[in-house]
Amino acid sequence: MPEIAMFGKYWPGTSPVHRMDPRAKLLLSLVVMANIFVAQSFIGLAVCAAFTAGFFLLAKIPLGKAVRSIAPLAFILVITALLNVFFVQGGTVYFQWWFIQISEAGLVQAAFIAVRLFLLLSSMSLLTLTTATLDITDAFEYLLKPFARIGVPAHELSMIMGIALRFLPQFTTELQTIYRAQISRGATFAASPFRGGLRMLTSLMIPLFTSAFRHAETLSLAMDARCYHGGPGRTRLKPLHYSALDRNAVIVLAAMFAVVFSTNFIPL
Amino acid sequence: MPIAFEQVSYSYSAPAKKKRGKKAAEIPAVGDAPALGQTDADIAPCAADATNAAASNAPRPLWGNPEGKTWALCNITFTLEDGEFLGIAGHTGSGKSTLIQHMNGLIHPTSGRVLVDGVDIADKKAAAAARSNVGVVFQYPEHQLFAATVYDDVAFGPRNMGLGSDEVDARVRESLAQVSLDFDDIRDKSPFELSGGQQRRVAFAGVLAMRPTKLILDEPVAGLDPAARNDFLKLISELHEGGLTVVMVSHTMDDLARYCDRILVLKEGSLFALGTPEEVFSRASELREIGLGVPYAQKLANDLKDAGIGLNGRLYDTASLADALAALYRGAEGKPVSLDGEGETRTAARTGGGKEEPCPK
Amino acid sequence: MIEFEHTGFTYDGETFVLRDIGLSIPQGQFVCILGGNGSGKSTLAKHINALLVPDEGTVTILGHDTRDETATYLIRSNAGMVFQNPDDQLVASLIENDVAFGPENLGVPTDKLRERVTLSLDEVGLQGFEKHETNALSGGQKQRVAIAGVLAMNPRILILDEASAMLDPRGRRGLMRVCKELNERGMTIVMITHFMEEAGLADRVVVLDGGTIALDGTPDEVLVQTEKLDHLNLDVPFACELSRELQKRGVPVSTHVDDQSLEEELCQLLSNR
Repeated sequence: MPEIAMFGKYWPGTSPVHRMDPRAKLLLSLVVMANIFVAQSFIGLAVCAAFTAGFFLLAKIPLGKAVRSIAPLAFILVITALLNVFFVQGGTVYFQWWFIQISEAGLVQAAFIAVRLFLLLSSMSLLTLTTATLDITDAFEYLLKPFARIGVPAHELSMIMGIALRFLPQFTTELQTIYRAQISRGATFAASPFRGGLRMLTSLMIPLFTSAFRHAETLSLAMDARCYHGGPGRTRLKPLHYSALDRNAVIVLAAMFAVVFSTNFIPL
Repeated sequence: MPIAFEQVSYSYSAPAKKKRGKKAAEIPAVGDAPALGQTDADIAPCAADATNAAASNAPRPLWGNPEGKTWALCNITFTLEDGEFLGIAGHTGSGKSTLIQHMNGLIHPTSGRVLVDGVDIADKKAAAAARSNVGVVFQYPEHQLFAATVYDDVAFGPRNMGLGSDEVDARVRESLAQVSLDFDDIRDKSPFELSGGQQRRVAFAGVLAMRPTKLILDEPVAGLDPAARNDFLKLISELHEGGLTVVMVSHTMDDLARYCDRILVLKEGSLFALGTPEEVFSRASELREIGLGVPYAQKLANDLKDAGIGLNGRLYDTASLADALAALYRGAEGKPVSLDGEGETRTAARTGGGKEEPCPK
Repeated sequence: MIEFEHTGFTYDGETFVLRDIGLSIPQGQFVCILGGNGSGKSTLAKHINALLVPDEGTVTILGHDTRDETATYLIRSNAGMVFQNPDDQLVASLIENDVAFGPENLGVPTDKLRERVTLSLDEVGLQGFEKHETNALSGGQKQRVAIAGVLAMNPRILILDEASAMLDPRGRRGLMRVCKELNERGMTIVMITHFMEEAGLADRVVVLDGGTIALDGTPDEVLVQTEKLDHLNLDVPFACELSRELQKRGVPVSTHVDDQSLEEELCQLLSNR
């Protein structure tokens, strides 16, 4: 049965990007995102795009697949771009009707934001494409550890994340089945929200929620049965350790930052 | 109103033969206007699948489809006749679910056509019309219950059809009666406080309330205990006797043998066998090769035949096999053989020839 | 090894789901527990690994009372459990991480963990699946991963709570084969099921009805009681049913549980003439 393309679903591999320490990868993808924010011009964004494409190449992930994996979030991109088109004004006015006005500045800003968002989503998906979910959550837990002393439940948070990610594809499939079942009973989801639309929505959401509760019930039993009792005393199949790869990655990202930052001084 | 499949193929990689870019973001890949008459020259024919699979040995992530597999269905042609009870068998991943979802236009063929009463349901309106006519009960249908009361849940379908409240009421009463639930007792209960078996009955009623002429059931008795399973099979058989065309997907060959007029066997998306239970189960060894069994009775009969015991005729249900064996026993005692084969039974055994084996020890 | 003595259990304090259960299972036995819905069979299973503790009487596993909280993890690591829905019990997205989950909880040192994961996957016939994703597996494979996850804790008892109910015939056969192999190597197996062909392969069959033990014995003793099984809403194995049908038709066969032995007798009966 065809599924919906998953955002950043793990793509197993042995590339240098895959082999990096997940903590380093988590932190460094934040750095990449910061770099994308640092870029203030299209040239800066082009540099970021070049680096991001390079990372994907290094991770041996076909660009087509990468783009497809962010498609589910494309609507964020479109909405943000549209908002900018309508609300940012300045320069030549291209179109005017009643209170709607589209101007040069709006279009430029929309394009800029769209590219920036696209790059952000790509770099986010690169992290999840190259890192198994449990590794991400392990890294997350490790990085949160210093805050455990002030009461942040680091282990529990990471466990929640891990389980949520594990069940995401499953819920996607289940939602699809529920959707098709209700369609078979004559439901029409394209209808206006005011005429029975709410009932249509509950016909999707209620089964999905009950399914989540059902899964949760057994899962908690299954975890009990496998002696789960929280973080203390647990060992790890894959203890985390940094390697030369991570050092090299830091160097590459430092270079990226330097280039992107300097593009901001190029007079346009 | 027969349902005819004409050369239906369904590809994972290009499901509805249309743009998949941004649209992929939305769950409903269904119901969109299909591109009629568009050729799919860009897609390799499904026969080439084997070579595709061999070429991709490297670990690949799964973008929704099984590794190296492109075609969920491949050149399926058959006609579901009115009033028949058709069984569909095939092990997990053989395309059973994909096949039945074509029957009410939930998914559209990548190539080929599905005709309901001669109308191609690739058309949006035709598909909508087919949906009230072809009721599909999914696996574990109780997991799709959602309303606050049983009444509202069963009424969901009729209301979606735009029927008046009197008609809706009549249909809810009728369909709950069909599944042997007491209307007054159950109408105001929450579906979630019912037992598993009752929930499934409510889900059945929800589909029956649309008064379909065809009922498509995807493993309707999966996960039920023996008592509930038998109750349900009886219910399905009663609905069939009441005039409904029934399609039942099942793993259990004994259930299929007991109820079906014809059985369709799928193997990796292709039609492997289609015929009466006798015809299909005569290919026992081939069925075993593709991971399917034959009914217990048929298996025993086949083993006895291999050992040189002359048996023929309908042997896939316990009662018939017992009849045949008893007749043979009495025949061996010297009394007349009441089997249709008469004296031929012995010769039939001998013509088994070199394959004959002595009784297993 | 597993001892139930006058065990009673109630969820709500009123109706008892288990009543005065007396059951003793020695090491290495393969026991099938049968019963209709609401017979208490799953509740009984959950007593073996201390997920539930009795309200009356005692349950003793490997010499430890299940109510002794200090022994809980010892009991659970020695009595692993596989549940019905293959989708509900895998914790991690990657197989090796899931298999390691149990021993990680037990604090097994990292250098031993890898070994345990490899060994456990070997034992369920999933060699080399370490890096695969759990979501991409078939139901039968998921259940075998779940068994591997249990085996990685080095248990002595394996409990399967209707673990085959949602599988197709192929998955079911695979699961049964794995259980048989484990049993041959000394694992005690408690299998809750309603598939008669599975019960026929066990050493012992216990039938529950309304929270009490209705029948207990070898498959040959229990499964031939066709009237009683009918009455308890259970299936009758095919060989029993055919034997019964043949007897009704005047063919002198004894009642068999196993297809093979019925086939042998029929073969002798019909070909000797």
